[in-house]
Amino acid sequence: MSELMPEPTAGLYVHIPFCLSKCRYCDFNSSPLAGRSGLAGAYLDALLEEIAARCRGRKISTVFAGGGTPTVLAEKELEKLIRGIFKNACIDKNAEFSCEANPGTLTAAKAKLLFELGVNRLSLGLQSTEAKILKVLGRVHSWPDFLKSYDFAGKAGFTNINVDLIFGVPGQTLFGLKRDICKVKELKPAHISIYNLILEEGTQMHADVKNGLYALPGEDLDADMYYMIKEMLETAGYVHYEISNFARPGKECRHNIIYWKAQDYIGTGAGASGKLGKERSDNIEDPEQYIVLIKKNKNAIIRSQKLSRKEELSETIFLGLRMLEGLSLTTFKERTGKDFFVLFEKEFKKLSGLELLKEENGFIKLTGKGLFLSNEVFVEFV
Amino acid sequence: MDVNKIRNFCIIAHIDHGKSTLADRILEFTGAISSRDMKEQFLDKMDLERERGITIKAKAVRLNYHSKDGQDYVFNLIDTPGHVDFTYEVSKSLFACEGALLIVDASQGVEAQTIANYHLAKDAGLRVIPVINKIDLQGAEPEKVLLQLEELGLNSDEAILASAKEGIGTEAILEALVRLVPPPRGHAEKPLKALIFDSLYDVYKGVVVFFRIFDGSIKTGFKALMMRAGRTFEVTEVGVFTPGMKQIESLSCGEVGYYIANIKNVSDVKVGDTITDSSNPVKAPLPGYKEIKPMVFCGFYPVNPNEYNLLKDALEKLKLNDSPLVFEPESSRALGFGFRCGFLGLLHMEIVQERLEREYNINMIATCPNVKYKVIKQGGEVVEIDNPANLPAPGEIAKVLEPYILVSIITPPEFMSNIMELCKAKRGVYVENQYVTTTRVQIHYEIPMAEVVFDFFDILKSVSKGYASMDYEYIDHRDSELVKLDILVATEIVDALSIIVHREKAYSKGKELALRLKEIIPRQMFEVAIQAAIGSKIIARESIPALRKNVIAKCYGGDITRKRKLLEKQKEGKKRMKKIGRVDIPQEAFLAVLKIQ
Repeated sequence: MSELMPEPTAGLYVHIPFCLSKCRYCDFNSSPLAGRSGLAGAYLDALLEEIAARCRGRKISTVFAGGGTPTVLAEKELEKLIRGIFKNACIDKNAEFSCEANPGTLTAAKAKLLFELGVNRLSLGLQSTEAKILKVLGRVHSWPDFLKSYDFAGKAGFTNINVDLIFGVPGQTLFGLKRDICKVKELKPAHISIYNLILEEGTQMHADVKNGLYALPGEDLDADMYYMIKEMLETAGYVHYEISNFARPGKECRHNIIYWKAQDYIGTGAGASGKLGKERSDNIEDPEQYIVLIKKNKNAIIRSQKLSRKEELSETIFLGLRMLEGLSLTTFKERTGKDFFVLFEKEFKKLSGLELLKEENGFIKLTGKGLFLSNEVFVEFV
Repeated sequence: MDVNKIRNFCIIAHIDHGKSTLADRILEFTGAISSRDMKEQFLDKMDLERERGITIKAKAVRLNYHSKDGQDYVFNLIDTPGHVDFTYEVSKSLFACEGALLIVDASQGVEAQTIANYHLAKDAGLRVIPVINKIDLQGAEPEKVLLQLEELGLNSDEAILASAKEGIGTEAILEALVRLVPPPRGHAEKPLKALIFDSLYDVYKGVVVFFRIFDGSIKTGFKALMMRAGRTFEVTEVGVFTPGMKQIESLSCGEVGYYIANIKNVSDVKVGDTITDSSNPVKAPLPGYKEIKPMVFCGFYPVNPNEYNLLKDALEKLKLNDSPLVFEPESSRALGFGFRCGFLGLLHMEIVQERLEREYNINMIATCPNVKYKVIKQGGEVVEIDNPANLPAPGEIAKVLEPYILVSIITPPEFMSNIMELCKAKRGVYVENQYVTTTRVQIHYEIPMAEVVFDFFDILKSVSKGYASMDYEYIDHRDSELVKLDILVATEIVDALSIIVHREKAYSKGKELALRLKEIIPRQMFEVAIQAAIGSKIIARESIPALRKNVIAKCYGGDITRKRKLLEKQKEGKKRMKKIGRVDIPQEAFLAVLKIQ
């Protein structure tokens, strides 16, 4: 490779498809590890092999180890994973390296290990501080468990910590949610992700709601909750930088921004997705089949798709608009060779008329009202 | 051909009592088709695939039968349409026969159309032979059915026990036809007098006319005058179906067959018309002719305005083989350009709608069906209204007349009070009840037809646990207190949702309709008011709050393809809706009117 050509960069996603127990709302590729001795070790071997093969020739600017719950792995396995990632891929020295962890699986020792091995960002799944809501969600930890984990992380040296929350859970009230936010912002984490519950088909919760066991709060309460969260966190000094993400200035998640800016990322592990240039690909979901495929082919991709120009264009828009800074008109033109307004004058007029979209200093962005109605905007561009 | 060896007959039955299966068995038994070639229900192939096959749908089949008496006979089996909407066509087909097989399901027993068809056959002077079908099934009660038949006035000694499915009784039926059905009468040397009982359109041959000769004969080159239509066409081909189309030299007195005569349009051929020799016509046509008039109307609109021509072509194609179907262009402020279509009845409407969607793949909106009203204006002028949106302003109206029908319902006695309550709720006027058999009551009501086209049949089925069956005929137009109920969405009148209702029902209908629309119309970007109004008076109001949430909360690397699909699906959903003013209205909304009680 020529010295003048900068090495291409990419984000690296590493999937750990194991957890302690399946949450009732979760449709991710993850299942409890218990009772499958030996699987984790074989999986990690395959995973590291894939990382070595797929990351060749790329400088990795961010790493995100997610799941599942990576911290469900034993200390030895965790160590093997993190060391292996550094060994098998060319990780930039300023890289952001995130790891997901769940209260209840993060011990003081694991926190210390992760930090010392080079993980510099920890994402903790709290979801709620209310016991009854945690139970509805099927979480296995309590608020005190979380506090303990949070404390371990801090003591291990982590300063860049994200806390995940969920709102719009059956039984949740505006007041209950307000208390969640108050408690969390008291801890002053660097980053807070807060998601409106999505009822995914095939999950236990989907069945529960369908069978009338629970009722969702409904769109009006969801919207009230959303705008309350926004106001509370902004007042507390957080920057609302993506539909569901808040950060202290400068602490935005660099890895996730790669997704929203439609930049390159490599997905490794069972069921992981990647995007390099115009090519999107998915790995096989089942961990055992994944191991077999990697051993055989050093590759576990079962689907890949080259984006058409139109798809690329619409993705750039519907991902880019998720960020509150919006879509840079200059970048849009550089990437697509087209002027946004030449292509979408009619759509923009309609959406700005509905007060969902606006132009500001060379950026197209969602309005405050448009955030929680963003699909109304996105469908105009797909 | 020896007229004494001809037997013309048809099969009549209530729906699903096994008419088509029996026809198949008869075709098989007489060797018209081998069981190897046998496609199930040969005479009943609406299916496009089969219709485009080698043979055109046979409306009458000629069969050869060697009887046990040692003689050879020619049978003409004439097909009859199977539904209450087509009573007139049925009566014409019957008129072409001397005998009828009345099929009754051994477990269902006598039903409304059994009785209606029996009376039609008797009125046409036919020799009716009862056949109790499906005797092989569990639950068959032939003894009970025999009693019911006796009570109807039929000779139960003549009844044949059969199972068309198993081929039981077929020969006995054929022998009974030989023995009991009289041969046709008439004179071959007299001028031609023949009845048109059906017609169809074939892409290659044009219109094929089915007829029965009472007097005279016909052959190629004959100049046939259709007396009611007043038009003459030169016959280019004469033939019979065996069941394949078979050209023959000539057809004579007593025979049944088809002719082709360069006729372009099925609507040029009127069922019930009389054909005669244009150079030597008979004095008077056959009696009982009626112009077929549509009774039920609705608007068909393409969801996508670009598909207007597609819809037009499709309707024209359907019309080729469906002469009672009428349509003319109309436009609606809400729905744009479409067609007002007229049908014989609700079932006919449903068939047409389904064929348009299934065979022509047209995504369309059908407005609420209505009947034809007669409006007498203040000045005495009479106008006919087949679209509620066109009802004159209240000030211009002196009187509105609506069509009434005589409804005949057959039911086990235990559902009588439910059914009478239903009829009363539908503004019915009681006529009489009568026990047809000890377990069957026939209820007669005069009911405004408009009340029946809504949901009458569905409710009748549900209040009688599926046991009641019905039949109806038009009586006359009567003066009623009718008003036009308008629906406004976001203050705009949606003309396609207007209905004409009885004044006393207007308030509750308006309220219910507004409520239903509130459930069906999705939230929009702004609050939407739904109002029901009579003239300028608002009688009900609901409001749909503004949409507040439509978001994909979580979207990361692995989700993108899925989320794109979700967005594409939403976009498709929006496309299927009809934009009225600023409001997106789903197609179901236009059906909501149908579902209110």
